[in-house]
Amino acid sequence: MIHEVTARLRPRTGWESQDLGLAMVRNLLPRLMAQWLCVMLPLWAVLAAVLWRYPGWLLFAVWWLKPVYDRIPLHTLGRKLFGQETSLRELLRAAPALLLRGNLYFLTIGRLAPHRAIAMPVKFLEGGTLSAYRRRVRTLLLQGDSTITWVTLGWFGISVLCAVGLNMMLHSVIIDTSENDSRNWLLELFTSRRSTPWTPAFLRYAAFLYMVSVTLTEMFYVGAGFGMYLNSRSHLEGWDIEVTFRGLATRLQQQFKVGLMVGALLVWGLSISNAPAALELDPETTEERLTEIMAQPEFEIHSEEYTVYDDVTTSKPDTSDSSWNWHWPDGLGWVTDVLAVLLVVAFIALIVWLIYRYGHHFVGTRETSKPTVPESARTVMGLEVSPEALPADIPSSAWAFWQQGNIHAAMRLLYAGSLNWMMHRGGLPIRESDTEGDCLRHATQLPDAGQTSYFQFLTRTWMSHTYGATNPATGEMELLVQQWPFKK
Amino acid sequence: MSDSLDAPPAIQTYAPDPHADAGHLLQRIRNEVASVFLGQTAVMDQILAALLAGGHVLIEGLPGLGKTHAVIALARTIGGSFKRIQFTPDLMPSDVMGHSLYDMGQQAFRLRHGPIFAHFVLADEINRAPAKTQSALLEAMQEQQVTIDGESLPLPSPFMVLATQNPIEQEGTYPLPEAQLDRFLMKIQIGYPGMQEEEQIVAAVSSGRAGTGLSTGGIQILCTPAEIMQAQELCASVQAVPEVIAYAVRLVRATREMKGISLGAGTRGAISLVRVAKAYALLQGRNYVIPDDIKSAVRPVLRHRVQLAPELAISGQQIDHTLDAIVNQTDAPRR
Repeated sequence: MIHEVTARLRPRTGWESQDLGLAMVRNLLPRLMAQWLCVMLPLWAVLAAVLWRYPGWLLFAVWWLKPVYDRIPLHTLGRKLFGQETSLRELLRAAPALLLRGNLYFLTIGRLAPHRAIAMPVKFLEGGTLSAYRRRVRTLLLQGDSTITWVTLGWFGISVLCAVGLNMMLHSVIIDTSENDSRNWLLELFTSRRSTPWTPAFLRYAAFLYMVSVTLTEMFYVGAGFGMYLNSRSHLEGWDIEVTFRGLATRLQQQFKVGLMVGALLVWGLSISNAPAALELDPETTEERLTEIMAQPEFEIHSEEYTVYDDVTTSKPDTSDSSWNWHWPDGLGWVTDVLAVLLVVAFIALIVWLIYRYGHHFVGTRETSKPTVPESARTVMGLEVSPEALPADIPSSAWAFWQQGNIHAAMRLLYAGSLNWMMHRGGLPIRESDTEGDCLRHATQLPDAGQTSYFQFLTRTWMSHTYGATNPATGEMELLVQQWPFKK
Repeated sequence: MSDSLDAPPAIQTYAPDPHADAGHLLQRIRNEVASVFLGQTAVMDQILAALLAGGHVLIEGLPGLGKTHAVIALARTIGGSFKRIQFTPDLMPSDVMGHSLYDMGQQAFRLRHGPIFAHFVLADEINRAPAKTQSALLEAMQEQQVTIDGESLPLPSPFMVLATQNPIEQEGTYPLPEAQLDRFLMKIQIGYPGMQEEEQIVAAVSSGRAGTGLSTGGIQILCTPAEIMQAQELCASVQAVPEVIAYAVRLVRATREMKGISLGAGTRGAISLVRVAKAYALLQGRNYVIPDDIKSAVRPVLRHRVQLAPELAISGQQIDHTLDAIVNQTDAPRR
């Protein structure tokens, strides 16, 4: 069987082996695509018909059943590896069995396994019991499971990106043609003003996009996994050496057939002639001889000690799982490790940012509900409203200005003083861009109705003075000073 | 910022008599029209402000919200004439302006005035007529006169065009170019009335004899067109201190610098802002403009003079929200 392998087997790195699988898929792409469409379109049509009223479940089912789909290209690739072509008719004949039998494990506990692309060839090409399958997968993953994990994540990302890209393309095309057909249901879908996009139509549309995306990407994922599966077997079982020797043997078989037979006879004859001498050795001599041989350097057991960190004083022999070893110079494994570290750092950064951004929703509940004053609002409408910019006794200072004839300063002081009190004592959220009308609206929230009415009167007087060039009468000013309600 | 920005500020002020009198008259007109235009006081204030400022308005709203009733009622309250033109794709400029007709009896050409010769002209669905007809109307709005067969004919005063647009059903329309939109002093958006007002409308209309609208027959004439002209003069005399004018200019300039706006408002936008603010002040019986008048005028005056960047428009950003952001980011006048 193994001598019929059509791929060029040799030990490769994880990513090179993925290339091998991708190359196989590229070579068979028209056939694989035809087989895929012939099997999957009816399957999806049935799925859509059954779950049409449950579009969320339809989308989920399209994603969840991917292991079933994967059997189509895997079947063809497995046969092709050993030189067997799979015609469309053969595949259709085998399709019911492929779709229905033996998928339970990968549709349940094995569905989310990151090494599914390697595990599926084990299950479906090698067969065996579940325990044997698990042992076998563990053995194959000794070669390193990080690459296959990244391959799985990568191809999932590609399939999602592909769906999003298709969506954007359709979106742009429909926007361009919307003038001709404004009742296009897809356009309505895009331009819908509903609060949530998760409408049934959107979910069906997403399921359709995902079907197209899976059609374009999934067989490459299967091919990548298949290539890695072959590579693992080459590493562990020396498939490449076996194939080479078998080829060598085949070539030499015809030329040296007779010579080999003669040689074999000679060896047999000599062994027969030496046998009695060997049989005459007594047990003590044999024991001595064995001890001498075992004492030779070739049979010395070597052990090496490694110190990983400075603070580790006692090193143990390396008995850990080799899949956890870092092979820095051996290929691209370090890239995945760096990416993993970056991912963890990014995740931690995201958590920190989320806490920073939304933490106030959780920590501020025990504090007083009085709104805090924005730091920037030290001036409102050009008036200094910070406490340090104002005198302690505002009405008296304003009256002093009035008596000096400085009416504008008096009015400014009263208005700024009232704003200061409302912001810093009343806790009203007054901003720099607020106008008199905004401040009046804020003032309605003051607890004391007298303060509100005073501020309304003050605002009218202030606006009339400031924008209408009408100075308040002395009586009005006396009223404003005497009834000043914003006291500490 | 709330929708109340569309409405003039509710600030009661002391004011000198002429402006206070004008304010009282305008309040009475507003209340009279409100009897058939229920639940749209902010819209009515904006229409009155445009009338006082001598401008024209573009009204955008769904059909059946009482636009025609409002204009008919307004025309009746000031004893003015009213004409309505339904714009259609085959409407010609002469259908709007009028034309010369040969009178066989008198053996001479006789001028036949078009529907534009009225104090209030309701140009219904203006974007359904081709550009040629739109231009003719917009020219008349600008010049307040029309020329027919070489003869210039003045339009009555006060003259106000209220053009309507339907925000939906844009197929087969001729959208007004930006330069022509600029001729409208304000773009007013009419929404649905509140629950209580809608209940009142349904009750009032269903108790009537026939038809689907409130009757305008009971509307009282409260003044004459000449008094409205005087009010317009008073409006022009409303005081706006330099700081308030600077505030208006700052707001308009901010529309040119704001990210997300591809076309900002021009100088005409700032002028219109101050004119409408003066009208708002007069509506409140004030003889001076306050910053809140400017603020209230921003949405209706600028919303059709600025254009959102395509990426924002596609993402569903509303121009009013962008204008609100500009108002919030612009410091109030410093005195």
